Amino acid sequence: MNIAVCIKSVPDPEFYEKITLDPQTKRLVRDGIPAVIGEADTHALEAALRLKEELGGEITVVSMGPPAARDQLMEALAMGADRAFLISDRKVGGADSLATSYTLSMLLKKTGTYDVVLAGNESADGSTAHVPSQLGVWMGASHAANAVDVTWDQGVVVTRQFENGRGRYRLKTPCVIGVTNAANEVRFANVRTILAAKNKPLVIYSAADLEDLDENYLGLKGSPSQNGEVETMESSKECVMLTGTENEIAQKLSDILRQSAVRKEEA
Amino acid sequence: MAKEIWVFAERNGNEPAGVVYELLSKSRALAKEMGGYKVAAIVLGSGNLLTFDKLMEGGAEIIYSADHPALGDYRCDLYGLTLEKLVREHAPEYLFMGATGIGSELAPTTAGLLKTGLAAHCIDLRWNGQRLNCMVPAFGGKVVSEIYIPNARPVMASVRPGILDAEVPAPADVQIMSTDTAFLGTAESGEEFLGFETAGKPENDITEAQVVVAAGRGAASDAAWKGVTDLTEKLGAALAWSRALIDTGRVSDESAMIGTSGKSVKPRVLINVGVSGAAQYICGIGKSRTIISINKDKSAKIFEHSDYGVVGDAAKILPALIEKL
Ligand SMILES: Cc1cc2nc3c(=O)[nH]c(=O)nc-3n(C[C@H](O)[C@H](O)[C@H](O)COP(=O)(O)OP(=O)(O)OC[C@H]3O[C@@H](n4cnc5c(N)ncnc54)[C@H](O)[C@@H]3O)c2cc1C
Ligand SMILES: Nc1ncnc2c1ncn2[C@@H]1O[C@H](COP(=O)(O)O)[C@@H](O)[C@H]1O
Repeated sequence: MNIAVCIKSVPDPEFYEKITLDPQTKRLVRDGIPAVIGEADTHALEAALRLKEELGGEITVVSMGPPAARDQLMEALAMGADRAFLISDRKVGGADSLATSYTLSMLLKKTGTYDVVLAGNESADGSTAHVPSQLGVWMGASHAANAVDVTWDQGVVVTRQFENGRGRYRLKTPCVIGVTNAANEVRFANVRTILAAKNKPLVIYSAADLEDLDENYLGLKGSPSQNGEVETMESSKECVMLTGTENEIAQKLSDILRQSAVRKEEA
Repeated sequence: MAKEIWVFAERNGNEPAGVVYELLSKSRALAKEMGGYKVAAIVLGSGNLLTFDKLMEGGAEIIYSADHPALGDYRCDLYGLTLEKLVREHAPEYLFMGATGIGSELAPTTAGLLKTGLAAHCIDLRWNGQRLNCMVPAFGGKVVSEIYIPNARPVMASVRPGILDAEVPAPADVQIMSTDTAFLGTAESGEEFLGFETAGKPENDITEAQVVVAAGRGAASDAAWKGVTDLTEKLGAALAWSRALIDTGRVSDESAMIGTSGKSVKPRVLINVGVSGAAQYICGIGKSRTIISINKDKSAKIFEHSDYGVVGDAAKILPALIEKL
């Protein structure tokens, strides 16, 4: 079983509160935020490790990003992946989900043939949740997103989460699956696996290394969607603080609720 | 290009999903601003006729229907192919859907097939006179970016359910267009549908409730939790929570979780108990009318997003409040 896992290096979500907007340049200021593997991607990798334990095979992790994304790929190798590929090139930068998934599909094509490709259902920063489905489209493979369970039974069996319940599907291989955080509990790397990772292959490609790339679908230029202005979410609310003894506060709260006509007997 | 705005009419049995009404309503407003556009509902399935009345009431001016047994059970690939075919035949300029379980994968699939641009789980769609700006939260809701699609068509957007208002527009003359679905007779799906497990009854539907009590990590203690559940009952409210409350083990599922990875609420009154106000949480409460927050930390961020604040211990304030109600 040949499994690929898409890993994105993202700024650590723990620090998103600290992101600000430069009033002059209108650019986001996110300096000093460390990079991590997207949380959902770790669940995708965990799902891959479990499939491999059951069926054997090899796990390849792939990523598109800056050279520093190598650290996140090393981490994935330490968690148990067998080999890693990164495409890093200015030409592929600034990509929207259509261009990102195109480039990833070409990186996958270059590095092997895969029965199953697992991705995080959504990245932590952009979090469009588009890449898994669009990767499936580029690869001409079946695909499913919002997967809360991934197993093998004469094919990949996925459970999709919907609003009103869960649907089970068997997908033909090759297939691409967007794995959510609910799918499994992620194992941790330990000293032994971290040391082992150092001997595993990690290759960094530039755009020139991938054959037959169609420039029309690459990077910012190949992205049909564009970014306009960015705003930070600041509130315009004026908060009235209710003070006094507990009894007084309770009375004020009760009055406010009454004005809003929310008590059961009035609603 | 047809001057049409299309709304994918996701079905919930024989009813359009709630977000369809929100999108139809928004599309009618945009059509008016942009001038000369018609709003169409696209319904895929088996036995579509049953939904037509509702879609007309919801404001659709055209209904495109693809009716075929192969579309009876949702399968992303066949739905995607059918939508692609419809778009290629009728060339609408805009195509919107809900960022639901189905929409959040059908939208990128369709956009991928059409090689067009798609804005993800928008919280608003704004016409600025020249272009449609799709407002997309990123970085856990800390920022909102304008995404626009300058050249590719149709412009596609998925929209978070529960955020737009669904005012029922005046009923229009409706044109019904059925599609030739013969190709589905031979189309192969890579997805074998095995079964569906219905979620428990949505007695606690936080997205529709007029009053919501939302509990955070600060409401996890036995005493505070009792206050929360008593208050919820007394007010006939729906009970919602933050991600951190799930982490405490007090509740176990995401069905009533507010936030970027959960749901959006828009009640008349929202009462936050022991919630700090992280961006990922705030993203789901913006449409609430009156927001009241109880937190023992006076510098908690949640107060910046509240109309009324109480600094204090929920375990003490809540019993006192319940007494007064
Ligand atoms: C990718 C990603 C997605 C996320 N998505 C979501 C999401 O969809 N929804 C979500 O909610 N979170 C989400 N989070 C988590 C989010 O960042 C916050 O961690 C979470 O919202 C915090 O929840 P909280 O306010 O309940 O807990 P805390 O931040 O721990 O705050 C608890 C508050 O309770 C107060 N308090 C404590 N005791 C009392 C008391 N006795 N009386 C009164 N007040 C008290 C404290 O002062 C504190 O302000 C996400 C995080 C990531 C990284
Ligand atoms: N640049 C990238 N490199 C590798 N994988 C990616 C990249 N962008 C997105 N992905 C994968 O696609 C998933 C969904 O991303 P998104 O569509 O951006 O929300 C992520 O969790 C990753 O698994």
